Amino acid sequence: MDITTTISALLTLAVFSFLYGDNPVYKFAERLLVGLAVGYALVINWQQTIIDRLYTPLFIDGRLALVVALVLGLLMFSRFKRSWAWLSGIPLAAMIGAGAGAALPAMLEARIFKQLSATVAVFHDASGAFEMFSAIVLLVGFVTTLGYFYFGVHRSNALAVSSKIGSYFLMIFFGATFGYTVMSRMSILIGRLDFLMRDWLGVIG
Amino acid sequence: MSDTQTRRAQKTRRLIFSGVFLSITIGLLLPFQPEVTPSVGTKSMFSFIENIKPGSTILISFDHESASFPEMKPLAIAVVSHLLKRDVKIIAISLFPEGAGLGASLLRRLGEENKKTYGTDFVFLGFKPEPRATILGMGKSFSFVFPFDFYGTKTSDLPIMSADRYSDVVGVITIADGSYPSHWIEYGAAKYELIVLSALAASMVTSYDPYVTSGQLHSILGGLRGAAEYESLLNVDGGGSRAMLAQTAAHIFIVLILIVGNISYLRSRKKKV
Repeated sequence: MDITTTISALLTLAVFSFLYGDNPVYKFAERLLVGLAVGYALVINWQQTIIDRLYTPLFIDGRLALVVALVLGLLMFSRFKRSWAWLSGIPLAAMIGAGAGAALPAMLEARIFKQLSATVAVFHDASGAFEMFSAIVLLVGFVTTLGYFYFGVHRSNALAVSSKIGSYFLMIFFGATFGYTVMSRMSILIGRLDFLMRDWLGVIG
Repeated sequence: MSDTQTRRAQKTRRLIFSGVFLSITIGLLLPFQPEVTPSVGTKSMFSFIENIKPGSTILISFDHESASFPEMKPLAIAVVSHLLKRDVKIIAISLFPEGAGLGASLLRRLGEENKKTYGTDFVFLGFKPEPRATILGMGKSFSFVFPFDFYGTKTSDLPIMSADRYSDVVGVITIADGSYPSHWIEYGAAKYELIVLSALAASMVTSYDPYVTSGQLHSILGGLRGAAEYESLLNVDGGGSRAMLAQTAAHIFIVLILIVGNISYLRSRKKKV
């Protein structure tokens, strides 16, 4: 067994000790994790972004267009001086403008248009009674759930019934998501216990 | 809350933790595994990989953090091993800094185990921030976004990088624990018609199922259960299969806790009335 396995196992136990109550051993492990994660992200970002995408292409390969990116990036640091802080609005405006411009059509297309057309297309693609039934459930779920979030008008009887049905669909969704989340968290615990018993203690073959 | 109630709550909490711990430990120690039947999604991903022509190239994105690695690792091992056995070339990246380190070591290990050559059969390009810009940029050129690989080698010097755009790869598999498959769907699939497949943490499955129905996501492999199903199709004994008994035991325990909790809640409500 190598030293890294032992360190990893001891840190796992240190984190598990929180289940009994907050304690210095847990605090140490928690702070070590935060520190390492930040340090690691900094190093990776420095090498793979600043060096690979800016320093090397600009100062070694001579791609002068990157001066614009360098200046915009440096302007972000103007926030540290109150009288210059307004300058940081320039790179922020560029980021938000470009980000929203790229995101809007893509999100509309993928999240709304394609999902909407799929809700209707299942009727066309349904080849049997069960598929048709599923398509109807999907459509009813879609319309009633949307109705549940329609707060702008007085809730007539029809809308009240529709939103009640919508709320049941929502509950089913939340129930399924909760079930999957429990499964996910259990998987993580199983992974760590398997590591402790197999790789560290060797009690599982 | 009074002191007695606080003490009781603390005691109940510890009892639940101990129960979960015991059920998982017993499940891991018992020397048998429950039979797993592969779902439609798992079969779909398996047959997609099975039908890739040997020598083709695929993109893999390790879009997860270290906290979810115990769940993501069996998924990643199952999918990457299958690809390497099928002689599919792998170009891997990460949209999370932590995913870069984990993905790099996992790919190296599996590459060596399958006697593949780095730079020819597989490559790890590393991490780039801002997923939208990275995915959109890769639509023009992989080597423009990743001029160097994770180890500092110029990507233009690597033979595998003759595949330099989405049209040169058969698709992307995002191994994700969060919402990053959305970026691949919105910017990769919608704009570049890239086929997107996903090995997901179980907690994200319900969020991405509608995308499979609409055809924007080819297939989903979900959580440890998905890994176990995939391993059963590959006929290997991996981390997913080994964990199935423990997971079943933990789920039974949680269902029992839910029943007991609800009965005790209803009884306490009745007493108040």
